[in-house]
Amino acid sequence: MHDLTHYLEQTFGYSTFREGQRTIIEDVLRGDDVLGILPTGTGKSLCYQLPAQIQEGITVVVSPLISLMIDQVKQLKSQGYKSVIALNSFMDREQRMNAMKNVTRYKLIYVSPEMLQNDWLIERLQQATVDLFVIDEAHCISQWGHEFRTDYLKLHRVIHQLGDPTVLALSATATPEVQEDIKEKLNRPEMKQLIYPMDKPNISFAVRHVSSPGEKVKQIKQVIAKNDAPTMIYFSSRQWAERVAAELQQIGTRRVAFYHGGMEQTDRMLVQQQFMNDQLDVICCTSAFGMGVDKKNIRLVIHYHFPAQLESFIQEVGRAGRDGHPCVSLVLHTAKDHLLPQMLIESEVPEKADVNHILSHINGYRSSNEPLPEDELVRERLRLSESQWNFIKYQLEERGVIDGREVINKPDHPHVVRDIIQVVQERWHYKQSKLKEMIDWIHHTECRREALYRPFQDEVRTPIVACCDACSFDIDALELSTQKKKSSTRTWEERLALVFGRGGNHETSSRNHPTNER
Amino acid sequence: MFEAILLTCVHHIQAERTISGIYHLLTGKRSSQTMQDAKGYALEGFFGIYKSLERHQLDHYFNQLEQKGMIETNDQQFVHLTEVGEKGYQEIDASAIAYFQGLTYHQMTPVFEKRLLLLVQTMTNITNNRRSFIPIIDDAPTQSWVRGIYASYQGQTDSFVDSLHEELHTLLSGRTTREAYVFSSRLTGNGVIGLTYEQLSTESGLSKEDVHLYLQHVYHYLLQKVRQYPSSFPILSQCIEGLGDSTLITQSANRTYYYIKLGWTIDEIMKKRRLKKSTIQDHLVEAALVIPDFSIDSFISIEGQSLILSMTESLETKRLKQIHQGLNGEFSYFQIRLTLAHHQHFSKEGTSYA
Repeated sequence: MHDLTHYLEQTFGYSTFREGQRTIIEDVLRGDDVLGILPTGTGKSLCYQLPAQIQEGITVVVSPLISLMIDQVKQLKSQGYKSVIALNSFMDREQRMNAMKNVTRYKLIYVSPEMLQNDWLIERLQQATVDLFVIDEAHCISQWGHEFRTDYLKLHRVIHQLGDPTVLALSATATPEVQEDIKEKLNRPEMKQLIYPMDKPNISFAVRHVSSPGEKVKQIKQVIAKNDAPTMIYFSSRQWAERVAAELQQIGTRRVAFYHGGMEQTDRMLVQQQFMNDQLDVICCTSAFGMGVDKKNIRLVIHYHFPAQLESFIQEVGRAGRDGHPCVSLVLHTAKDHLLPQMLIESEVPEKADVNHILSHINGYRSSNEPLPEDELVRERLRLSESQWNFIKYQLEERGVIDGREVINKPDHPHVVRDIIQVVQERWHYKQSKLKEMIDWIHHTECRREALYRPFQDEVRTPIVACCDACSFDIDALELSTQKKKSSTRTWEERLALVFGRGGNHETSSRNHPTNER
Repeated sequence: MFEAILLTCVHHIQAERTISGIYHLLTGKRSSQTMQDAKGYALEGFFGIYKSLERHQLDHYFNQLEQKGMIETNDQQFVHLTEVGEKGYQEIDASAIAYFQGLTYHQMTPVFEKRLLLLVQTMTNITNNRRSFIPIIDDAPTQSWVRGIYASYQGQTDSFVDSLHEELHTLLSGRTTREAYVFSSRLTGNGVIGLTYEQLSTESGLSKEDVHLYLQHVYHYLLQKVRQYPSSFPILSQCIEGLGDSTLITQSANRTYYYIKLGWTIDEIMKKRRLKKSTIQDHLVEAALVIPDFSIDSFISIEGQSLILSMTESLETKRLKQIHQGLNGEFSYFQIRLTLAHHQHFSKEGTSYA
């Protein structure tokens, strides 16, 4: 067996493994397929980064989150781990062609699921040996797979094309039901399951029911006035994130910024790094933030909007207190808050009543012997959102109605219609029941910790902090503070000198290195 | 700043263009019409100085100018300055926008900016013993360029950082405090992360648009000084190595021009390139604008050219329609455009103020 600790030290500079890492790595190196459930921030990525370094062949990592994979590649490179690349649709054509041509030169290849549908890439990979095939965020197969991540459902075929390498599926949040689903969709019923608890003993939970959005802002102002510590505030919409950030900036005592996917690339990078570097106190963000950002000292996670399922909520509060010190989750809730996630679900799943109309439209192409036009055009004609159309398209592909752009079978055949309506209904019910779980949790009157983690694990550990507002936690009594870096307005010459490290009083007292998620 | 630029644009176009024309100019649209406008109205300096400008931002500013009674729009949507606007234009501090050279620098600036930002971040982090950092510029060519510089200065990074600091300090001293402040606050290095446009705007009390334009202006200023005195600014000179002036002609127009030089007719080129006649004509006008020795005589006689020019002068306009009518429709719009484009190389006022 390899001396794993030696590799760990040499490549990543750590002297010990965290819970679960060693077992998973050993299993994978032995060639066992593994489904690993490890909470966010506990170093999932090391479970394949280390084997990738040790093994002769290539490790392929499929990840749906392009920003996450780009961040990881950047982090690895900054640590001197060079033979790594992220293949994704953000690269321009030339970069992509170049990378694909030389793909066998890399040891660790991150790839988006849609890139794996590229035959040429598969051929290139077939010319090398793939030792390990990793599926990150494996719950996508089940949770979202039916709709957006149709490519994820095709992964078992890709794995076979690559010569059936060892498979490692990783997720931070997967109920037993989802775990079964992952094994089934990957066609690996024998997969070994390694499940580690996701409850955080250092977090306290609270929910505040308020009467209006304005009341939420007031609450936030009160909380951050008393708690001067790194804070994240989650929003479901970009506009709200910007609006509340602007209001909080008015207070003047906290450094506040917003972050969302619609920002200019460099600005996005700057905000992220400012927060990492403690130059910002509060960040108002959408779920686009935080992927791959491993800031250890986040003390407070506030949900201005709650997500559409508990799994996302667990991931988001999981960003708090990675240093093990006490931290807090606060959800702000008004009676109308279910409407936003409700609308989100509606834009994801087509309506049952529309199915007939959609299918007869597609039949029109078959009758006139035409191929389907571009996705965008079809969507426009049918007034479907991207995910609604992807959902329908996938269902038709699976039933052999369409192949690529060709409509090869009658789409409005009664049993096709019936089947699809049924799937739509199931999907709809599933999403609704996930949302209901989340809402139920918000209205739960007994221990929130129990209610949150119980569906995912047998034992919930006793917290090291006040548990929740149903137990003994009182958020009004909370007073967190962290040592702050002084920042003062300077002249341009002082600012320039600071950046160049030449004189000037230094803003950063402690050196803060962005470190890799272990 | 933005207001001053818009007033200047409106002043120069003298009710002969719409807001869209100004939008295309500022965002640097590479079309014959826009380049022709840039030259014809002596607004080259502003070409492409705000590529990320969105239409609604511009409309917002124009609405404000309209509310202040500085501009008016006629029924053809052409804008012009009112008396109040003219007065505002006269009051503009010319030195505040003096360094814009958009037509020359619009392609060079973003590359120069990315190189400089990443170079400062990399070198200052290394000399201050911060070996692990995430690059703020995420693009492969820039990163490999910085790697190259780093490799050639290994062992001398300390003095490199001092010199770069010195070069920037010297140059920024020649700008206003405000510009120097915005510029240095945008820089990332030595564990300090630069500010976003949003934050710069809050800190300096400027609009987001002005922040953008002040930064652009500093970059154009740096480019000019560095090119003028390369030996005084050796490191910054390295940052512009390999970056030529923008080629003023689009590739497509260049191909048309190539066939013309081979002696092909417009019809032949149309067939060969499967393009519309009007497109080919646009190309020729574009070529005439940027290539002084492109002879247009085979498209319009010398006499025709002088008739068009004298009509333009007596009507005091560059509006094609008026010239066309003034000459009783004797010449086509294409011939008029071609003539104006060709002769702006030789006119006295064709030079840019910037």
